[in-house]
Amino acid sequence: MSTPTITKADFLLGGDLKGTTIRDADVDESPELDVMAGPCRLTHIRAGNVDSAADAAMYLKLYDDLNPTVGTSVPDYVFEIPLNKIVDIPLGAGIVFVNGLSFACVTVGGTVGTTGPVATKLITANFTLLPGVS
Amino acid sequence: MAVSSSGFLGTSQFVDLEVNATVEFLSDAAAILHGIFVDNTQNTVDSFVKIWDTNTTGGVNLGTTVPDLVLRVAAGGTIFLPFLIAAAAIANPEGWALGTGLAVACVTAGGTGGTTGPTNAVKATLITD
Repeated sequence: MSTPTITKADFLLGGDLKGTTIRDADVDESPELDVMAGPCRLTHIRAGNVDSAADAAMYLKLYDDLNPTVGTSVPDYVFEIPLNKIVDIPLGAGIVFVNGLSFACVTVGGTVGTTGPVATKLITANFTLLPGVS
Repeated sequence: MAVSSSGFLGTSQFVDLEVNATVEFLSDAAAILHGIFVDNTQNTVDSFVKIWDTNTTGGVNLGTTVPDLVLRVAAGGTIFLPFLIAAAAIANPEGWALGTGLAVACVTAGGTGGTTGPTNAVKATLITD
């Protein structure tokens, strides 16, 4: 299990509305759990699969779950991150995680899959989030 | 709602359809998906749109074949996802390239499983090449 590698930065959207940018420089099969400590709204995803190590497409999985079991828990969102590509998905008003957002990255889509990227490959992901669901 | 297509620029087209537990093969060859809009306003529970990079030869066994995209659409809500996928941080985005084909369905469970379609119509528009 790798050491969590996420960094967070808060920013002001206007007035008292504050957003958070979360960056994980090494997304893998070890899930990052409940990254906003509760319900949140995800407004933007940017993920990269451009490390030089030979590998294949990866699958970024998002769970509305405080403590999912990767490979068993049913993901709510699955996005393919193609080899040698950067994926940018703006989500407008955002998608809501009523429990909390947890995420991981493995080599297969759908529900199954417990194998993450090879040790020398970095999958990076950046999320823009707002606290709460409204 | 039958699948209907309309072109707007070159080979790009809007594909409108009602998505449910019947897998629709929108392309039997490589395709690019630029975006997807889903309307789940008629339902009181979440719906899950799933896309497979496959064709009629490979097939999809709904509930068993692993999807390449899973998209939860909130009860009573809509979602629009543009796919801005580029080779590098400053390259022009190309869309999501599917190498084999494009199959789509909609059920009431996320992940791989689920064979039950939504109770009421879920409409989708896919922008493809």
